[in-house]
Parts: sequence; C-alpha cells; structure tokens
Amino acid sequence: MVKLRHAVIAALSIAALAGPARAADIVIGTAGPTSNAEALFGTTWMNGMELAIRDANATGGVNGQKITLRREDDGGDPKQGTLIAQKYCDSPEVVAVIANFNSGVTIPSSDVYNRCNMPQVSNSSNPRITQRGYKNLVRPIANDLMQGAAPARYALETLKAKTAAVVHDKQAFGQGVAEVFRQSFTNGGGRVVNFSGVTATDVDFSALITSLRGEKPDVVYYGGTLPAVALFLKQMREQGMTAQFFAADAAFLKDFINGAGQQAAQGTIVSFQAPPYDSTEALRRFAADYKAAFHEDPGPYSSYGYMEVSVLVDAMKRAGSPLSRDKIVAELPKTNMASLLGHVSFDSKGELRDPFVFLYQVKGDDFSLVKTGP
Amino acid sequence: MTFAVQQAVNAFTVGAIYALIALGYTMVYGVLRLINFAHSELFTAGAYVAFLLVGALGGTGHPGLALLAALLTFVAIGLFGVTIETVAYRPLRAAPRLAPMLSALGVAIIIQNAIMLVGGKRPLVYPSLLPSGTFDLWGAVVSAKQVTIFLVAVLLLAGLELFVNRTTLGVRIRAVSESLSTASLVGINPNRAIALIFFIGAGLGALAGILYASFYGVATFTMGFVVGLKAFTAAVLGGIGSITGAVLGGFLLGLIETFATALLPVLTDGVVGTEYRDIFAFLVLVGVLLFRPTGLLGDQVSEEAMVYKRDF
Repeated sequence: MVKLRHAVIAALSIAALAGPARAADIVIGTAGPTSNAEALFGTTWMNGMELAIRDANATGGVNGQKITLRREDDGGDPKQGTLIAQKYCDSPEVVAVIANFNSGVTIPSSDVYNRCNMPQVSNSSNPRITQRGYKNLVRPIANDLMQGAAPARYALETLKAKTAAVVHDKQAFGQGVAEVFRQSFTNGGGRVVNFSGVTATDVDFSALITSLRGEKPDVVYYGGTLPAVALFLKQMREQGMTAQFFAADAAFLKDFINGAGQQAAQGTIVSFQAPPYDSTEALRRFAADYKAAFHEDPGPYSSYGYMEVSVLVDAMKRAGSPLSRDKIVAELPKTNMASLLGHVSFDSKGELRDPFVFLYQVKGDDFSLVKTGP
Repeated sequence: MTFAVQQAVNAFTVGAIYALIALGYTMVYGVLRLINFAHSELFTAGAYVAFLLVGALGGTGHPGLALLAALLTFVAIGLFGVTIETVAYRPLRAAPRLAPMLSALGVAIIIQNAIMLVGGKRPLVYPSLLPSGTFDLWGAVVSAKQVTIFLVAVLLLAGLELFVNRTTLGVRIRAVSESLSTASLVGINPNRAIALIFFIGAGLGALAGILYASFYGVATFTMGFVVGLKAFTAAVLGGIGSITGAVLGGFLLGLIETFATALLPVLTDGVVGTEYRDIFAFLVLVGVLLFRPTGLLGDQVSEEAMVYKRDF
C-alpha cells in the first residue's frame, strides 16, 4: 500500500515535471466565432492577435521564451465556449486566454476560467461581464454603457450645447447608455430638458417629437437600436427639428443612413468602439502589416486583438519566469501601458479606466471620424 | 397652439390609416359576424407587394408609377382576400362561429410567415411613394405625405360610402349584411356579395399598408399585428358593422392616442412616458366593450346577432 502511494506520487511528480518541460513555448489560448455569420469578425480579430505575437517574438518574446497562439472556434455558442474553456483549463501549457468575442459566450465561459484562475482578457461589451467581481478577468474594450459619456462630453465641450433631450427604447442597452449620457451631460453643466422612453418596435414617434420640438433642445441623444433610431431621426427632421442628433453604436451601419434617408442623417454623430485604420500613424502601420501578412484588409476588431495580446505580453513580462497563471492574474489588473488604441489601465472591476470610444459623423453616405475619445 | 395643431396633424395622419384598415374588419363583421384576423396581415402583404412591384416597374421616379403599383396591389391583395374567403371561411360558414375565427388566426400566421420567408426578417427600408415637401400651418410642420394620406383616405372612404349606398351592388351588400338567408330568398347570390366585400376590404387594407410603410419609411413582416389590433379597436369604437362608424372610430382613435400620449408625461410629471402609447387603444377597446358594446354608431343588437353571439 505504502509502495503504491510512493509509486503514484513519483508518477505524478514526473508528470508535473514533464508538463512544463515539454511546453517550450508560452501558449495563449483564444476562442471566438470563426465559422458562423460572425466568422469575419472572429477571424480578423484572431489575425490581429497573431500579428501581435509575431511582433512580440521578433523582439525577444517574454523574457526569452517564445509565444504561440492556439485558436479555437466557439461558433458564438455558449455551450461550445464553455467546453473550450474547460479544455484550456486542463491544458497546463495554456497560461492565459483571450476569450470570448460574444458577450453571451463570455458570461458562462468566465465561470469556468475563474475556477482554474485562468487570466482572461475578454473582448465582449456587455456590462454584466465585469459585475461578478472575477479577479482573473479584464476587459480592455468599452462596455456598452460607456458609450453614453463620450457624446455628452462632445456635445458640451465642442458643440457648446446647453440643453439636451434624451430618448431611449426601455431596453437594457438603450436605457443604460441613455442614462449614462444624461448623467455625464448633467455633471458637465448641461440641462436635460426631456428624458423619455419609447417602444423599441414602434414606428410612430410624432407625438413625442412634437413635444420635443416645443422644448428646443440643442442636441438629441437616442439610446436604442435599428430601425427605430433611423425612423426617429427621420421623423424629427420631417417635423423640422434641426437639433444635433447622437446615436449609439447600434446605428453604426449603412442601414441607419438608408433608413433615415441620407439627407436627414447628415451630421449625425454615432459612437463606436473601433477607430478607422487611417486615423493614426500606428494604426496605418498596423493595417499595412496586417495586409502584408494576411493579404486582406484588417477587420473591425483586428486592432483590439493586437492590443489584447500586447496587454497580456506586458503582464507576462512583469510576472517574470517561471510563468504561472496565478502570477499573470496578479499582474494583469496593474496594467498601465500605451497601446495601439490608446492608454490601457484597469479599474478595480477590470474595466478600462479610459474606455476607447470613437465618434463618427455621417458625411454623404458613410461615417467619418470626428474625434478620438475620450 | 402650435403644439395642438401639430398633434392634430399627427393624429389625422395615423387616424386615416386606422380608418382604412378598420373598414375591412367592419365590412366582414357586418356580413359574416367574423373577426377576420388575417386582415392585418393583408395590410402587411400590401406593403410588401407594392415594394416588389415598384422594384419591378423600375423605381419611384414617376408619380404615375407609384399610382400604378398601388392599383395593381389593390387588385392583387383584393383577389387574395377573395381566395382566403373561399378557401378558409366559406367551408366553415355553417359551422359554429369559433371555427372560422380559428381559421382566420391560422391564415394570419401562414401569411405572416410567408412574408417573412419571401421578404426577409430584417426591416425593409421602404421607398417613399408619396410626394415630398413640407409647409407651415400655424407654426406646425405639415408634410405633403400627411396631406396625401389624409386625402387618399377621405376620397376612398367617400367613394365606398357612395358605392354601398347608391349602387345596385351596394344594395346587395347591404341586403346580405342585414340577413344572409333573406337576401338569398330574393335572388341575391350571397357568395358574390361576400366575395366583393372581401375584395374591397382587403384592397383597402393593402392600400393602407402602402401608405403606412411609405410614410414611416420602413416595413417589417410583423408590422400588421399592433396596427391591426388598433384598427379593430377603431371599428369597435365606431360600432362594428358600420362603415361610417369605422371611419369615425379611426379618426377618433388617432386623436385619442396622439393627444393622450403627448400629455401623458406632462400629466404624470414624467413618471409614465410616451412608451405607453399602445395602451390607449386597448383602454378604449375595453371601455367600449364594457359600457357601449355597440359602439358609437352601432346598430341595435338584432335578434339574429344575438343568436350569433350565443354561438361563441
């Protein structure tokens, strides 16, 4: 019996030694949709990571060790996402993950990653993700609600607006961003003359718009989704309201411009998380490198993939060798670095302290960047 | 003042559309004592068919094209309405009243799903088939679209009123509506009169769909549901079975809904907002059914109608 126990312990210690010894490289796992309707987003996002890893390896890796990326396809499916999470947890060579792309997948998978204390960098924007206080998780992307603040600041500081009307569709997202806008606008010294809800599926907003017209707000903020946001703007312009119109990222689609009509949509300001690739020198270089490596233009989240790897590599360098998940988890929240998209540092919940929100303005039949925020 | 005028303009626009749809409900109910639940889907179908026709005819450039598309849609959906009656309601005419009602619900589901499969789940950006431009009326902004919708609706309603009251076919419709069995005794083919009613009702519903989608610039495959319920409320409010009542009910409901919605946040100090727009139509429906089931212009409840009621 004693002999058997010794044998088991011996075997286990050999296995324990063999594990890290085999893994010459540091492995970062990632999971995202690469085969469904969102495949383009997922694939280009991971390509961005790949590029960051090449750059890091070219400059010596992490304390001399090379990094490799392991890709998995979660198909945007929570079931698949949690299975992959378990697999990564059970693979000792995987020391950190960048997962997942979809909020609906990140929420359940983060429970699994939390159980094995896996450093997790998420690219999903649902506010709930950081509300469970997981210390191993950071989210270097603006959460849905943070988009309300940048337009409010822009309205106050650049447009010198004094009054605003805020309309939302009573949904978690729409009302959430609208409330953030109201708070930021009021804190900045503006006055919100009207804060109203509408039904998300309604098409007739004339009664509310007539009331708004009488209140003459300088700007109108709409928190909600298509097609209502387009119809609201259209009817506003038809009733002769010329106030500056703001919308959240749900309107960052050509459908918005078509739905409202190109003429009505002109000048509308829409917030979005990702910048255009011609806005800074670093991004232009990134886009060129990306094209050289993958023979296509970068996707909307490629720069995020790149930045997320940089954040992990930075934390790993500080953690020192030998690397472990626990050490990276300890270092990740202390991140304080310049990245491709801007300065990255996290608050106590793992949210970006200065979220990247970019404001675009409708010009002609497309969006063009007005201000890199915040 | 400006506020009141503007809201009244908003109210008459939406009221005109309710009135056009309400006619389809009221005419069918007047004859068959059937609530034609498929009617709201014909409203949607009208918008989609016109969209396809405008595409096929080559754009919205000429007002004549829009008119032609509307006319073709009227005929197409009218004939479709007749087909529905023949296939889904006629075989059940002698059955208890619940059976055709369930059949109507089934037809509604089929049409809605067919529209979804053909037209797609995503909202359709709808081209405006109405004249554009706006003008000022005592400080209120009135668009040419709103005027067109109002005029088209009033003309159609007046035409229908004349048709039903002044023509031989109209007399037949009225006779069948008064008593199906007695009408057939004096040599009127009730099936033809009923088919005519379905043709006109469905056609008007389809036109309402075109006006609605053109005005708001969007069409969705589910758009008929709430609008249909409201138009049905308008028909009940005016007195179901009465054509004048449906028109009155439509405009009245538009006014109630618009003004109540606009005043709601003012009266409750913002606690209850404009998102509760839809409750007014249904409050009206409940109120009318409780206190005046025959509606504003409804006929006295006849012996025959009572018999039908017992069938439920």
